[in-house]
Amino acid sequence: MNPIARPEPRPSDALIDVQALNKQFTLHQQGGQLINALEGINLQVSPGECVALQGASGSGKSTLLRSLYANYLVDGGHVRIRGAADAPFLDLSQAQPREILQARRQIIGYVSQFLRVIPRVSAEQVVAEPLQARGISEADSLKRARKMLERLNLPATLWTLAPGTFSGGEQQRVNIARGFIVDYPILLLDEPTASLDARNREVVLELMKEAKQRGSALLGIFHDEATRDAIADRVVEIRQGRIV
Amino acid sequence: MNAIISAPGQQQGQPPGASGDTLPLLEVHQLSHLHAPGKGCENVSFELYPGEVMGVVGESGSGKTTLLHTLAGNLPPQSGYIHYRDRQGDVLNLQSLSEGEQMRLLRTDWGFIHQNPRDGLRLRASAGANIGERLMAQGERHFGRLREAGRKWLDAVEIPLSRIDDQPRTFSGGMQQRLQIARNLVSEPRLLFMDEPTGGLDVSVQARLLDLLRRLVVSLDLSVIIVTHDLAVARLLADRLMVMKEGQVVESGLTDQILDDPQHPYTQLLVSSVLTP
Amino acid sequence: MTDRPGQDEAYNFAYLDEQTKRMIRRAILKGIAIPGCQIPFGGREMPLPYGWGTGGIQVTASILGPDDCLKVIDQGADDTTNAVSIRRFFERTAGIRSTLITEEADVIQTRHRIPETPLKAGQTLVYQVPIPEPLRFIEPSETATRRMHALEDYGVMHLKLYEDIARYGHVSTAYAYPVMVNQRYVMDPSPIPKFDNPKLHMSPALQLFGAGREKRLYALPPYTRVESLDFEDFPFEVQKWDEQCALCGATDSFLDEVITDDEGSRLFVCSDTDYCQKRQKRLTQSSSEVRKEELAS
Repeated sequence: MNPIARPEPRPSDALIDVQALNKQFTLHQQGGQLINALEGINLQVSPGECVALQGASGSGKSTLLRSLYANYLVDGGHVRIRGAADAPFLDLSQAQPREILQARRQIIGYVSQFLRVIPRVSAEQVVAEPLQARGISEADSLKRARKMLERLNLPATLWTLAPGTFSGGEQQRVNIARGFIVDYPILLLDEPTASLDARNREVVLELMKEAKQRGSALLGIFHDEATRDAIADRVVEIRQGRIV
Repeated sequence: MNAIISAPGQQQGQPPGASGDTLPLLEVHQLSHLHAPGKGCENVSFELYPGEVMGVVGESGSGKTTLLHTLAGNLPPQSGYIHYRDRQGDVLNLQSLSEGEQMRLLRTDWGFIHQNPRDGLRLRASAGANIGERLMAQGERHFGRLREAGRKWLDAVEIPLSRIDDQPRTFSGGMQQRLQIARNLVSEPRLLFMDEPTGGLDVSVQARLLDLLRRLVVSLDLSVIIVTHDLAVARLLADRLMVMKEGQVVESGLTDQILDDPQHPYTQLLVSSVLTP
Repeated sequence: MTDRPGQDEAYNFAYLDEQTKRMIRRAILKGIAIPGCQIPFGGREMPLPYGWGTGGIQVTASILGPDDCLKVIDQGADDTTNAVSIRRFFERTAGIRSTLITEEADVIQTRHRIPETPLKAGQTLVYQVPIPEPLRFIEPSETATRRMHALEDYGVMHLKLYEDIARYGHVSTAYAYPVMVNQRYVMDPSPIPKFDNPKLHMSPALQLFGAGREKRLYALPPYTRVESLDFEDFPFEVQKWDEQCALCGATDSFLDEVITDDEGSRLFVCSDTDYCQKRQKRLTQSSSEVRKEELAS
């Protein structure tokens, strides 16, 4: 690994290690207008730890999560992730697309509010896909997918249907199932419990707790205070792209 | 043949028995084929790894189709090189291959899906013969096995087996395109070139074809270079993207990163121009 | 050259001028060196129309020597207009001997048959070829077919056989059945019935093919491997008849069906007239027992 200048001491077992992260958007369509979305972000998350990001809408919480998933390009600094405390870091600011895809299969899961629907693919297939990408057989992965959907109280009649026509809450549960089906060492959660009823919120909370107990590092945005208080070990506040 | 650049043993730092994942299947360096200044492709470089699906996006005239045909050996490169790692692990320089070797490569290890199925099918030969042609060219001389392969691949691309002796000119556009795919996959290629495979099809037919392609690419561990102007198709099929404008690659990277956080003004224009229902 | 008894002195020996014959002989030598490969040659205008055997006649004219004995057959028969005209053409322009008997001939020019009597070493069979290119049915461009030959890109040949079997349950091609020569070139054996294809293989005679319109010739040197294209599970088969020849009783020759009256009565006779007549002669000479025995078999 490239040695990185350390501005302050960090826990040596961190799975997520963000160093002096800068993220800008240049809007070429609007005369090259520059937006500083994130500035000088430093953040570490250890195994078994859950960190909640807090801040007003537009403060940069989602941008930070997306940068950690390499969905957004890092302009400055480093975003490093690893699957275990003794594994080498992968620096997302320098990684090749195939290394990032590999990390997404093996290390880092992302649960967002919205499901990107693929035409003609059934709900259980959507959920089973991350397992199959890891080489698990179709039969086994579908079995586990159904179990997960059952746990999230999605009616069995929906499992074989494409989620395109599902309600917002149903789509979100499919997405949550897909996010939790693999025991990722790192989980990024973008308002996982929004628009869920109390019963399903409880299930998601359990899933997150189980992930923590397994030693996963969780970083999330939790709209709902009760959930945040129940799961988060630390709260990091972001204001105008900076941690305060 | 001096077409072999290096044999497997000469690679350094490659643990024996490791999957080819760490070594690229295709290495393209400074490749150019210009019909006129700014028309065609210029100085394109990239590496494609086994199992990777790379999309090439841009508007018509951006040079993406010229690039595809130059990569697939249909157009001669004016400069630069293409190196391909074959099943034995030998790296072949495409330009040093004889015409015959290039043809065999194109019909066994590689496949090409044309936008218009008419360009990739024998419309007056039966569906079964279309599928069997690659096998026959490779020396398959058993009618029963050819029939079996025909049935297997018709099934794989969701064409009713009862159509095996029908000529594809009687097929719908979507079915013709699926037959073209079957015809290419029968030789179990490792690398597939696709030129707007869903262009000219109805939206519902497109969705079915995309779903089929997605499943086949994963289950057969194919490497694919797909040219499309449709960013939704690119998002669905491609792991990574190259954005082309006036023959040049202006941006490349992970598909969702390019589409959700485009950097180049042209890419931003492309992404912001997409209509979402 | 002009002292030959039967030769019309107005013509050079065998009609063509010596330069042309040398040029054609060079093409023939090239053809022999590359069995089954089509060789272009500078075809000349001949005093008969294309389709009447101009290619075969130019090849024959180029290889005939003053002492050669010539036989000409058309669909197996020596007595059809085309065969008679060509035979008389060479009798007049070259003053050579001619024959109807296969064994006696040094050069046999043929349209659409190979004699039933096995050919011997030293004999030359010259075929009249209408379309020399076996790939033409699928590919109209000459540039493309030459490329296909060069690259041994022959998958389409089996594609056609595949289509036949898929549609009819067997290969329906009965004439001009394509062959693989010396494991290298796919060749059109001219429109001989596929019944004759096995005779191409390892023949002791030299076989030359001339196409006048297309100005192409090709060759099979003696003892060349010639395999008819087929599938392992649908092997090549020749035609078979339930009938025997009505004239000579032969059961092993290629039979023509002849309609004998307006009621549709028909009989089958040998297409090879020389073979049939020889057998008829032998039958009248031999005892009735032999005849019965032959008819019975």
